[in-house]
This record gives sequence, structure tokens and C-alpha cells, in this order.
Amino acid sequence: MSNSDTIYDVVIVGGGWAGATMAKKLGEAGKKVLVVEAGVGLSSSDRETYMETFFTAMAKVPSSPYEQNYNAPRPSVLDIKNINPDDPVIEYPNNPIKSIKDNGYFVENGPLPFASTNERLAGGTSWHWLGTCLRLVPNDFKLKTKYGVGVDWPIDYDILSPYYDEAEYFIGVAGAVDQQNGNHGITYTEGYNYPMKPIPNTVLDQAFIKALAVEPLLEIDGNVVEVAGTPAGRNGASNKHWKTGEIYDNGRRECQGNTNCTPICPIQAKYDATITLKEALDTGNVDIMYKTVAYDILMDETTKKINGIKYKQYESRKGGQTGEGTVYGKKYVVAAHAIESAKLFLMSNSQMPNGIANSSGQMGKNLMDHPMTVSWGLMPERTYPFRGPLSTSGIESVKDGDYRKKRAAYRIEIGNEGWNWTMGAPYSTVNDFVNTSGVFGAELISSIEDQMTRQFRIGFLIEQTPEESSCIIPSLTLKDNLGIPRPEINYDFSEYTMKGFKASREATKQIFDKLGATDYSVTDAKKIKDPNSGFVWFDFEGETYSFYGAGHIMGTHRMGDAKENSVTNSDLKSWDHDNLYIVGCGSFPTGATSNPTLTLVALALRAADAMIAEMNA
Amino acid sequence: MTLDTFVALSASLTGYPASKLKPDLDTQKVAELFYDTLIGQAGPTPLAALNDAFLAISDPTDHESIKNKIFDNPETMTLAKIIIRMWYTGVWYYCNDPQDGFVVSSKGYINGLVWGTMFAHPMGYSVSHFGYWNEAPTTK
Repeated sequence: MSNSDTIYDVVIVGGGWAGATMAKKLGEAGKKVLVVEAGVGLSSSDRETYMETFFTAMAKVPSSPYEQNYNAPRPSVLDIKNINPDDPVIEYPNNPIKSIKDNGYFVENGPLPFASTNERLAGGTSWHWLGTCLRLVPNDFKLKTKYGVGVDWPIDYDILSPYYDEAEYFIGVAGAVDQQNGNHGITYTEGYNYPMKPIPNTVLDQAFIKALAVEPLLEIDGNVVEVAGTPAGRNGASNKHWKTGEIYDNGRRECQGNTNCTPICPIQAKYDATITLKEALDTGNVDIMYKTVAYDILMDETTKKINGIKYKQYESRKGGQTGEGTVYGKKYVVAAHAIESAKLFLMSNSQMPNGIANSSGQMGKNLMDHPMTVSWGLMPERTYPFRGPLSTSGIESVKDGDYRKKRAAYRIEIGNEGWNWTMGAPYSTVNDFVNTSGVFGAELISSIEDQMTRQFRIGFLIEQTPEESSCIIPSLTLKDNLGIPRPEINYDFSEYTMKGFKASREATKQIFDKLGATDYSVTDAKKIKDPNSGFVWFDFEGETYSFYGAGHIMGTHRMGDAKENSVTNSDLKSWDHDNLYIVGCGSFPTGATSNPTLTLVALALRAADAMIAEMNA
Repeated sequence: MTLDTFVALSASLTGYPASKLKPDLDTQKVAELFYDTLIGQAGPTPLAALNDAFLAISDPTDHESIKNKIFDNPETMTLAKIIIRMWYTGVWYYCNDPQDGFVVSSKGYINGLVWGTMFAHPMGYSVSHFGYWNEAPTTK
């Protein structure tokens, strides 16, 4: 625990992905760091407790192992539903616990619901991430220049490439250069290899590879559809370090294929940020305050430098406020997650009418996800899902091309959990056979065996363009249990993004045909729109599309090369306040199609280097 | 309904032999867990109806008898289906609702029959080795 009277070299808000990464790098560089974490802290029995909660949860959704904390609440996918403007708003402004329990944490204005969620506890959303560690492709950094869409990033692939190398060792990624090398221009540093060999692929991946190798090869918009192994932050067989020759060993176990990366790896074979947070604390230079929620950022009127962050504290998840105070540093990092960070800046408006770090007016805007089409079916042969990690391969060969002038790109993830995500298998499958088909005894065994061993799904992660109209603001009326405003979200897809959905539906048909698979996806408008179906959806060009969130929340404090249209520069330093850095997926100017975590870590490592250089200068 | 009757009935309904549902050397006591859940949750009238209907069947391995007198019998079908689903998933479902119910316990979840039926393991509970998923499972 810290003494809040100390003036630290750096105060970091948030002990998740970005905050832990910064804390470790700064602590190792000898800087005195304080991390302020809104959620509950680390203890050695966390994982056991979370597993028990997961096992006994009826809906095994991403948040299911992690009990709701009404003093630092998080959203749940169970609360996501289409927004009907005519629906009466039932809120309980004087009873925040009931309000959040009944309506969810986010206040959704629509027109579309925001479908992704995050966690608020030490280690952040890394507790429930999948593990995918794909690099962005070079053209992802220059969407505007190449295709006339969105904006360019202020850095390009070559600048980030060495930080990708560092991030892959920082996380501990199992992968192979030749899985991705050359894919839309991705290159690696000469001689580079991943810390661990690729995670073995699944029987389903092998069936995809075999079917897609049959001539004539399937082409979509000029790209041949090819399966590639997915680099992942999961432990596999070690490599020798490409420079030192040392055998890589991070001290954790190899993946046992629990098929449970999301919501929780039972054995921590999958990297999570609690590992880095502990390493940060072990440097001896990093202090942490748990259950401490930052709510106001203070600024010196003359220098415009940040000169304090006010916080509220609590003791239990449902109890009220138990303390408050202010922490001080020479520099500040806000790493509280794309939605909470933006909310914090916009709330801190006692001195600045539009909030701190917001002279551009971009804070909280350009909220993006990788909205997903998920298609599911039965393979012609048994491919044995529910064995191995949740996903070990994807189709990366289609995610760039001239078509990006006209419609959103996507990557395709091959899912290894049958119809679990979309339909709730195996529960739904058992129910269907017993209650709908009326099957029992030996016939039930053979029915389940036949169907469940052939279930599969693919998910299209669609690039969502940044739009100012998709934004997050602090609610003026609805508060959490500490009296801190809840995030209010306006959200929509551009026509360009919707065209990506349309293309994904066409691609599903082509891929399923090639596999000889039977499509069971629900595409019928009536079925999707049935309020009991649980789908969220939109209409586009006469068709109805259901969609899912990928949990990839981006764009709300974007970086850029001009202070007029971005919140930070490419070092993730605020244009407005000389001693403030803002890190996390909110930095992304565009969303691309690769899962964002690796890029988020690479950017945080780069920002840490910039900070350290500045402090040592 | 006695534990023995419950196990015999469960064998007829799930398709798995009593020796699998309640092995001689049973450290897990899954049958006892599900039996206790049944006794605690089912109303006395449907439970008695199911008990009597099952004990009246001379050959519990005869599919047609179980079908006609239990699985398709309006007085016993609801509870019979709840029992099947409990064995397969570890969830006790209220009134045979497609979704509404509760997980009996983590032991019930982990020992659900559905995972083995598809040659897999409970999500979050693999006891296998690194890379096993690279090959099809042994299915016999």
C-alpha cells in the first residue's frame, strides 16, 4: 500500500494490460511508480475462486467468473439488447445497485447496442482475453492514403515492428514467422523467431486446410482463402531466443487445452496482465492501491500540467465509499480502458469545460469494436470440438485488398467450441434432443455423439470505421455505487462497415460449400428479431444481420499527427498536457481486423520508452 | 424413491449403464449428488408417480416400455427429462424450461455426461496433456 502524500515519478491509473506493462517498464528503469486500480486486488486464491464461480454459473459468459463490483462495475453480454426508442426507460437513480443489476452498467442510447464488454479488476480484461497475438498488416496503418477511408495512423508498420518483437516476448507468444510472414506485407526483423513454437492446430483446423486446398481454390475479392495458425499468448514448446540463444522459459505451464481461454484459463497457461503486474511490484519501485477509483484529474492553470488525481475508495463490492484522497506524480499515465479512460477525462471538467486532454474534441469519440458475424454449422465428418484452445487458426489471407475502398475488411477466426458461443451448446444441444426431438437412452447417446462431434463455427471480425457519432460520455443522471457517472454510449455502424457484414454472409456460403458443411446459422429476419432469441441485429439493404461484440474496444482517445484531430501523439502523450500519457486500445485511430491486444502492448512499450527517455533527458 | 431405484431409472433414461453412473469404487459420489438434488427439488407427487411407474416395469432395459410408461407418459415425462438433462449437464432445470435452472455444483458440472459423449472434457476442466487436440480422440 502506498502513502498518498508521496510524489511519485509516475502515477498510473489502471492495473490492466496497458497499466501493468507501463508499470513494469518504468519500475525496471528505476522510476518510482504508483498504480491506482479501481477493482479488487491480487491474491493467490483468485483463480480457484473464479473457477468455482465459473463452474457454477448458468450462463458461462466472459464475465461469469468475476463477481459484479458495484463500486467499479463492468458490463455483461447478458445485458446487451436491441434498443427500441419507444421502450420506457426503467431506472432507479437512487438505487444504483438495482439499476445496474436490472439494466446493465452501460447506458445505451443506440441506435445500435454496444456489444462488447470488459473487466475491472487487477489484471483487467486480460483475465478473459482469448490469447490471439496477430500483428496488424502494413496497410492497416494507412487506410486513408491507400483506400480513402477513415484516417491514417501517425506511425507505420516498420516503426512498430521492433515493438511487436518486444511485445511478443513480453507476453510470451507461441507462433511461427512463416505462418504470417508475407501475409499482406507483414515482415519480421531479420533472424527473429517467436519465444515458443506454434500451438498445435485442431482436427477442425486440419479439415479446413484439407478442404480449402482442393482446386479450384476459393478466392474472395482477389484473395485466395487460406488457413493460418494463429500466434497466441499461450504456453507451448520453447524456442531458443533469436539473439541470445537462451531457451525461453516463463515458468508457467503448457496449455492443456481446457477450451476455456475466455472466460478464464484454469492453469494460467495463457498470459494475463496479473503476471506483469506482479513483476512490476517485484521491482521494488512500484506501489499499488486497489479498490481505488480515480474520478477527477486536476490541472495547473498556468502550466497546463496535470497536478493530481482524486480518488474514492471502498472495501466491499456492494458496500459504499470508505475513503477518498488525491495522488500526486511528476507524470501521469491513464490506462483505465478505452471506455473508462475517456469517461474519466470527460468527467474531469472542473477547470476545462470539455474535459481534460480534449482540446481536439475527439475524447470519447470514434468508439470502435470488431463487430462480428458468427456462422455455425455441421461438418460432413467428425472434427471433435471442445478439445484444445478456443481457437488455434484463422483465415488471414483475406484481410487486405483493393476491396477496402468499398467495404470493410474482415479476418476469420475458426472457433473450436462448436455452437457454444452462438447457441449455448452443449446445454442447448441436450435440450434439443431431449425436449424437442424426444430422444433418450442409447439413441440420445448416439444423437449427441453424432451432432456434437461435427459442430463448428467461424467468426468474421469486421473492421469498423471511426465515426464521431459513436461515442461515450459520462451520464449526467445515472451513477455507480460510488456516485461516479456511468458510461453513456451512442453507437452505430457506417454503411462501409455494414457492407463488410454483407460480404461476410456471402463468404460464409462459399466457405461452407467448400467444406461440404451444412449451415445452421440463423439468418431469417423473423427469427433474429424474436425478442426471445437473444440476438442483437440491424437491417441493411433488405437483409437482417445479427452481430456479436469481439471485446475489442478501441478509438476513444486516438493518436494522430495533429492536435486538431487527435488526443495524443504517437508516443501516446497528450497534446494538451505535457506530463500526461494515455495508453490502451483507445489509442487506435482505426480498428483494422487483427485482435488488438498485441498492438496495444507494443504501443504501451513504445510509450514507456518515450517516457523514460524524457525523464532521463 | 431410493438411491438404487434412481440409479436404475437413470440408466434406462441416459443410456449409460448403472456401473458408470454409480461405480463400485466411487470417489465422486455423483449419483448421490444428483439423487439428493432430485429429492430436494422434485415435488412428492411427480416423484412418487415416476417411482411407481418405473418399479412397475419388469424389464428396465426394454426401450419401448420406458418410452411408453415413462418418457412419453404425461405424468412422468417432465421429471424424467429433467433427470436426463441433469445427468448430461449438471444443471437442474425448473419445470423443464429450456434455460432456467441452476448448476447443481461444480462437481455436477464437471461430471456431466455430455462431455464424454462427445469425446471431450468439461470446458475449463481438461486433465489431458499439451497438444492432445492435434489428433482425433480414441472413440472406443
